[in-house]
Amino acid sequence: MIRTKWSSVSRSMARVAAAFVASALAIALVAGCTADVGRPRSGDAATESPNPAYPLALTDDAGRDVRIAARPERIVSLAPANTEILYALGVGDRVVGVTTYDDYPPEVEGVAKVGDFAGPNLEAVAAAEPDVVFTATGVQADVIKQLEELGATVVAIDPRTLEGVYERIGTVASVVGAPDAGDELVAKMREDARAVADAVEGREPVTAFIEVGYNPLFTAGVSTLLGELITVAGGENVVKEQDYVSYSLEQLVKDDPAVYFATKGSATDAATLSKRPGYAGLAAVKDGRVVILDDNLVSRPGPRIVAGLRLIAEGLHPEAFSE
Amino acid sequence: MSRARDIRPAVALAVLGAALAATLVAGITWGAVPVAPGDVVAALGRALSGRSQGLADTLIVGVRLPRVLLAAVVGASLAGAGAIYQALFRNPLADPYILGVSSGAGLGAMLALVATSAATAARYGLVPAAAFAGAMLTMALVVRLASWKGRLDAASLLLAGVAISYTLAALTSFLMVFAREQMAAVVYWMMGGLTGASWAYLAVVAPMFVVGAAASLTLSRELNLMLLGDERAGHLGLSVKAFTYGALAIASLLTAAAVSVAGLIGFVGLMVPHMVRMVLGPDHRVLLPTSFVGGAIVLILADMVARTVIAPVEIPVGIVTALIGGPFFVWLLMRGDRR
Repeated sequence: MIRTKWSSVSRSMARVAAAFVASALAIALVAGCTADVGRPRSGDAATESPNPAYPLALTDDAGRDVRIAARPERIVSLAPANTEILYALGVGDRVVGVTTYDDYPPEVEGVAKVGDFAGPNLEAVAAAEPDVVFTATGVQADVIKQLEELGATVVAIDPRTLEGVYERIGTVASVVGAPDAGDELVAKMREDARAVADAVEGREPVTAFIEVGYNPLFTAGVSTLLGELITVAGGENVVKEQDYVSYSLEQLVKDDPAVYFATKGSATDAATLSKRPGYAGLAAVKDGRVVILDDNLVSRPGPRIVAGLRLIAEGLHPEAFSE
Repeated sequence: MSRARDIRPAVALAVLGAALAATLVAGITWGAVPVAPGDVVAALGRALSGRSQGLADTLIVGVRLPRVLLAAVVGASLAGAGAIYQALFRNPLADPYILGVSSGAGLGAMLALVATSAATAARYGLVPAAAFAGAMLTMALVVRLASWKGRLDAASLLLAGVAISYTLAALTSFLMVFAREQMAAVVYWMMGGLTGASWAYLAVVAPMFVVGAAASLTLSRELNLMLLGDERAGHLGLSVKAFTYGALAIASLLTAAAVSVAGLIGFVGLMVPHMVRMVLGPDHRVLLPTSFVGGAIVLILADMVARTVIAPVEIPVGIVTALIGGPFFVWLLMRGDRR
């Protein structure tokens, strides 16, 4: 149940193993988070004013009630997806701390690193004197608690659906006082997602499997963001389980998906993948329909998720995007 | 009474042999995807005649058969090695990992994972090879350290094993700090499992198993002598040091072969020899062959559970061996006490 915003390649395995251990915790954490709690409960975010009225109250993805006293001038982001959101909103100049996993946009290179995704350095975070810290949930549950004890204002952002990503971008935009930029960004993303959905509209869903780890084989089930992307992109996930699960090779051979997606972290190229035991007979391998996906596009619940959606749709329905 | 005892080994071997055959058949027939027994037989027939095609053939011949056979070889290797270690150390807690093979293999696997940072083709071959090398080098180092002062006794072997084991485990942890993205891969490797089973693995491991098992079966009489203690074994004409070197080499080969393709699977190497011993007594002429067969049966069964119990989701086989084996062992112990 751990979310997927770890930055570069090879992170999928770490993610799924963490998921294995921490799923119960993560489920407990997000249990209180439903679709309608994402919006700020007060503040005039909808007015023409360039800044929303503070204080601002909201419920975050860890189910915590958070109060933002004033427009934050110093922002720390502990998840690459949150960093991407902040830069896309045009407030990158206020970001004073990120993790070593943060690699996008390129400007983030110059920002102070306060640790990695799984283990931020609390002293480094404190030294950055943030007005607000944006975290994920799951593996960062302990970090949230520790930051609270240090008196930091923490907002956990960890959407698990496409709609949730749009909503949470709105939340971040409100917190940092850029609601208009947020609306604009979400509108653009919805437009891009709509273009993909239109392109695959009316086409027969193509069966697909998406690998996030190998040996053991791990996949994304129906209740994951990856699973949703497949559906929206005009595919049918052959995996009917919930969450990220270790999947039987036998079942995969039986399912025999038309398209085989693998994230870069677990497979580098189709030729290598085809040499695995049991893979030579897969239709997707024989038909050359193995697609290696950039984890950073398909796994981070941030602005580029719609680019990931398009990659998946192109893999499923290449003919719909050829002209 | 003594006569009844004499026929027991023969009966036990016959029963175990039949049980192994039945388990192999069950393991090949029963999987995450149901395949009718008739189709299984047909698929095997087509494989033998070299005309494999279609779903059932890929499933049975490409996926399930190598996995079941690998489970048999790994289970047998671990149980046999466990029986040898338990005799050499006269220690009921001895298992195939007692001399640090696990941490040596773990470090080898870790280095290979770091060297092949993404899931490249090299990783499939390099990780087992590095784990095997790590295991064998660790054993050599431990034995060398333990025999530094000339003698080679159980106590110094165990202490050297513990010392090296901790050192290598610390090195692995140290590497994990810098290669955090490999941590999950290493942890999964250490949990053990047969999900990576392939004919290629089998082709490498099976010959090592055959050599190791055949060699160990010639050691039964000497292992029985070792149970009397180094000194008495020496008085009875056994060259204890030379024998210990030889037996360790064989047990290490068996362990390293198993570990290289299946990671660290617990319980089998420790418990199976005990189970057999409780039923059939401590004579290694019986104990060794029955441990090999028993280990194969136990791991095939455990892996059947691992791959089918919540199919299509798989669970690491080590969890099954420990969860089912632990209570079963307790039951055996209590039953033994009552008699």
